[in-house]
Amino acid sequence: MSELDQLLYEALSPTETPSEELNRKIYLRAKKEQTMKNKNTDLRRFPLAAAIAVAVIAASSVTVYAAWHFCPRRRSRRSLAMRGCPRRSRERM
Amino acid sequence: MDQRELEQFIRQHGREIYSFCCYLTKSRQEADDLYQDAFVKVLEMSKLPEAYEGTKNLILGVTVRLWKDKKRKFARRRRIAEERFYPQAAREGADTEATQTPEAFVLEQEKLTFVRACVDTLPEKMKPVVLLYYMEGRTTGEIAEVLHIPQGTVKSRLFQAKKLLSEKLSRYKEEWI
Repeated sequence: MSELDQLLYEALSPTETPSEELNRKIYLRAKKEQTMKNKNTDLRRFPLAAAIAVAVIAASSVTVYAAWHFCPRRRSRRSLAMRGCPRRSRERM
Repeated sequence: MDQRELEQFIRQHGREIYSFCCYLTKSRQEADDLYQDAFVKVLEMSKLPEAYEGTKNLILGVTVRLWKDKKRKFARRRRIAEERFYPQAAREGADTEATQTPEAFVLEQEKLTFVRACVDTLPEKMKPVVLLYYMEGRTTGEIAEVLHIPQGTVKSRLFQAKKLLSEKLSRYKEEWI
């Protein structure tokens, strides 16, 4: 190691210590940042959950409407009779 | 990085990072700002490297970038009110005084202050390289990683910086060594 290197190592050794107050400020900032991040994550999840709920409701209502519209009661009775299912309910009584 | 990890990280590396900020800015107030801003900037990042050394490299890199950004502002402030920077060793020289005579201690401090002043006059590109090499004890490869520049560039900057420093210090070398 040259003399210049030695001199520079000596002169530039880390001697400074950050104050406690400064570190405390960083901890507080980190805490705040964490809270903000969590809040943002919750907000980001909300539209996704809402979209899923809307999709489920829409799909089920479309299915129900389609069943009501395309399969009238008479037709379904007939198809049950053709399959050999026994008649039930009011007619028996 | 959670709260406990951050506290541990600052306990382990805070001193080195803060010293780096002090030597970069040459002002305690500006170093405080830079140190805090660098940490905040890194904490704002969504993904941090898992290894502690990786986080330290990231903070050092961010510090250099922020320092470059703020340099104009710092320069203006410095023009208005110049603040001299005295390292803690010079201010709290009690330990050194016990082993040296007061005269030797003062001379030693003067010498180190002069060397620091010479480092401070280095061009903006060379200063972080010199500080990382001598203060942090990093290799040229590691410095290249921190500053996102090729290793060859680091080597050439270090060589040029040494040449400049050697010229500046040559007048005083014979007296000291």
